[in-house]
Amino acid sequence: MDEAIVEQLRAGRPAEAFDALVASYRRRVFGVAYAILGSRAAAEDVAQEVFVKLWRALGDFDGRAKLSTWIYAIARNAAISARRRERPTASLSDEATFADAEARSATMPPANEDDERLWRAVGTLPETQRQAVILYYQDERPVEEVAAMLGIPVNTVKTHLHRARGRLAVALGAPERREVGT
Amino acid sequence: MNDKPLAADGLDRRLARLMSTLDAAPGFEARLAARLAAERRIPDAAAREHAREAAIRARAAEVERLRRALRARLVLMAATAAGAAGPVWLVARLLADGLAALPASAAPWLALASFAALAAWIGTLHLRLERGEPVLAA
Repeated sequence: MDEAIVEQLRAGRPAEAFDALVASYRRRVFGVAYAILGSRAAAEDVAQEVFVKLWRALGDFDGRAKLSTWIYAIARNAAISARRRERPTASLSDEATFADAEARSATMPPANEDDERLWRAVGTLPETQRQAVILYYQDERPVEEVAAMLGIPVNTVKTHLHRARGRLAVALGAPERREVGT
Repeated sequence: MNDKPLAADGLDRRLARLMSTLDAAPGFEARLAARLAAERRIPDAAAREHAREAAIRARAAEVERLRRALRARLVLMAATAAGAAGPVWLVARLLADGLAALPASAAPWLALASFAALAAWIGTLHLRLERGEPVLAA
């Protein structure tokens, strides 16, 4: 898909390339923004902002970097900037902050009590683990892509996911397991 | 540790189901298109405003240039009138005061020479005006 988009850009069809880019990256850009901001409304705003930036910068994309790497970097930076703008003193590593943000979210009520518990358990994860879980499970992506989205090494993503699993299991009442070698 | 750390215990399915709902609200593309259209309108409006202001500035500059040219022309005309009045007055005085003292035969020649000098001076003045040179310069 990325190759087709880059090909359209090189062929001087930026509008078509942009439409394809939005269709291909909408969920991923939203996912990055949501993982960092913890709020659907804020993530939506940032996703819009990111695509506007991409539209403006599309002509400058020279194809030397991977399209996805370029887009993820823009999305990540936009989300981090938005977080600094909106809550300069708060951090999403604060579990209550994340829970509050999600509670304020206008959409996606958990479908049932189990989902509610699971959602709250995800909200109690440390920020890095929560981000990895959100992006990994949003579309059951390869850890390599999650790593690219977050701008961290693949092994770090694996570690975050592994530890998140342990924490979630405990939070949901499973017997605590000892983590070995992670 | 493996690549799918929450696999096979049901938890990963629940997480995947829960997280799969994470997407922009319906109409995202339409809102984006509207925003991009607005982005494009803003530069157009800014360009139009810029062009309008540039036209106003150019018009004001042209008015100022014409005003200065008119003032310069009035000054030149006044100087020309003053410059012409002097020799006319002088010649008139010479004719009035001196003709009587001169031999009757010299008077027509003196009058002719005076008027020739006046005509030459006015001609020079006219040339200077045409060339835009200072009228009162030596």
